[in-house]
Amino acid sequence: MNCAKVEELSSEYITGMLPAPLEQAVRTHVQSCPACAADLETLKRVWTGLDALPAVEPPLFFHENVMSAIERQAVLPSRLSGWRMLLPQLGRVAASTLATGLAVAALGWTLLLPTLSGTEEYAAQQANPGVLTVPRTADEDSLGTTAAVPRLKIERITVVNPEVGPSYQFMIRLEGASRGTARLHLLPDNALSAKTVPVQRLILRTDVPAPPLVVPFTAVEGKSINLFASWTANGVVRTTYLFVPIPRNDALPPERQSFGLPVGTLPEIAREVAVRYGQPVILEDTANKRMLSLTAVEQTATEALRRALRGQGVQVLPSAQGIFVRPAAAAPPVLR
Amino acid sequence: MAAASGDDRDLIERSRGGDVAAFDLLVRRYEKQVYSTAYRLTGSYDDASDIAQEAFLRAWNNLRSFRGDAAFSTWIFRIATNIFLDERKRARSRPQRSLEDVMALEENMVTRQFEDTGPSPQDRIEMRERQEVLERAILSLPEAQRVMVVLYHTQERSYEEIAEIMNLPMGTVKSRLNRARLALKNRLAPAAELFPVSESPNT
Repeated sequence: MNCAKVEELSSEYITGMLPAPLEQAVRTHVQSCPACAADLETLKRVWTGLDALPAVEPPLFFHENVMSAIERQAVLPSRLSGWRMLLPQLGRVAASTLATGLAVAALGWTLLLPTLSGTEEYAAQQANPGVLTVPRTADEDSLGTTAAVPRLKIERITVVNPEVGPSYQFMIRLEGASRGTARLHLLPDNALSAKTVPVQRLILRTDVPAPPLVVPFTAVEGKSINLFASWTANGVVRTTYLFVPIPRNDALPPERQSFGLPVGTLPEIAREVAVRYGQPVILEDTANKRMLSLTAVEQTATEALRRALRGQGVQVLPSAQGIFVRPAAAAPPVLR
Repeated sequence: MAAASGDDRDLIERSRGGDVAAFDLLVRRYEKQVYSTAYRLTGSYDDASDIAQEAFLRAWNNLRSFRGDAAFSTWIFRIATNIFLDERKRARSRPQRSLEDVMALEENMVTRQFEDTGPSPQDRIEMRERQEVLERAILSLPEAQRVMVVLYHTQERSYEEIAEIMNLPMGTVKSRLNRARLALKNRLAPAAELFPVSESPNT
């Protein structure tokens, strides 16, 4: 047994795969050869280190992008290559969103929102693959037809067990599309950045009701549950934010309030209003990230939002579920 | 080789019939493994995204050619590694980024993307350092060896499965893996103190 032979057999020696006589021969050599002994020790350490390398999480929206590409391909085979160029971009935007907080998410919406509406835009995009020039058009599918409008319906928000502590239940359904997928991110309260967010993903189909999503939540009065859903339907990726205030025990939340909001991004303002007025606010597909400030005027939550978001091309609609903030051009939301 | 588990097989069967929801479940089941593999092979999150996504797309488009006698994981790994190897072959004609560029660019993202395994800050720094050194060493290996090291050590695939994924005889897999490990050992010997004493048999 010489050093070269020991090196050749080292992997099998370490894993104990060598036949007994060979193993004995290697052992004997190693005992009398410090160089080989040191080499083997290093190899073992490297081996252990390799085995311990952690798995890496796919970026946010990875799964949605894959499924979008597949669905899009089914609808529109010839356009696949163009979209495939865009998809990694979306992933990158999503990753930076996670890293730098949801203030950036407002920007993310812009990039996630576009729906291909016609061949001209598509041609422009092909010529300029790095730039998203697709205008946002209301609820057209990727073929440019105005088929049924896919809509994520967040139905019920209930306190399941008020004695033990609040637990919240969301019924999520898809309308206007045969199927889609949704990925839900629960954002830690008052931290619009998502560190380690529990992620729940659902496959949504119109014929099979999605299971309710139960959110166990340690309630802090005056805070909110922030839910961020990215969802895919008819091959289009969409986003919806939901801000659910934690009800106060001592008093009913004020219906009308007087306050001035700090300057913030759209999701920050929506959440602030949700918490102060104790009403859920649902933010749908809103792409504007302009800075805003509110003046102190006595107003309802709906009025506060309308005032804050004036000129942004959104409509503010009160409903039993909460206050919808959605693009002005969009069809009215489905209410119970 | 392990055939597709009953559960996978059912999903594959439904996917073949055009059931996107069934394929959706398969993607979710394997996205982390495939993405992780692609990341270890390329050292770049963007390239990993491209490769992993392309792998699932090709899987969907070629479901008909998938034989049920192999595990879905084996198949999807084969697709992903082939994409990686083909890309590299093509890239060889183009100028390549240096390894240092890759690491420098990705540095800020690295800490965020790894699972939090919960050790003390000091341990974490050491672990991070160890991982970086290892990652760099893996990326310095020739592609074919790199694929094997990644599959064996980070995806815990057996020699047999790697042979199937790479379409190579077992003996070739074993000897290439051995050579790859020795190369890593030689490269990492100066940094051996970073690695804790192993607890494997035959000490």
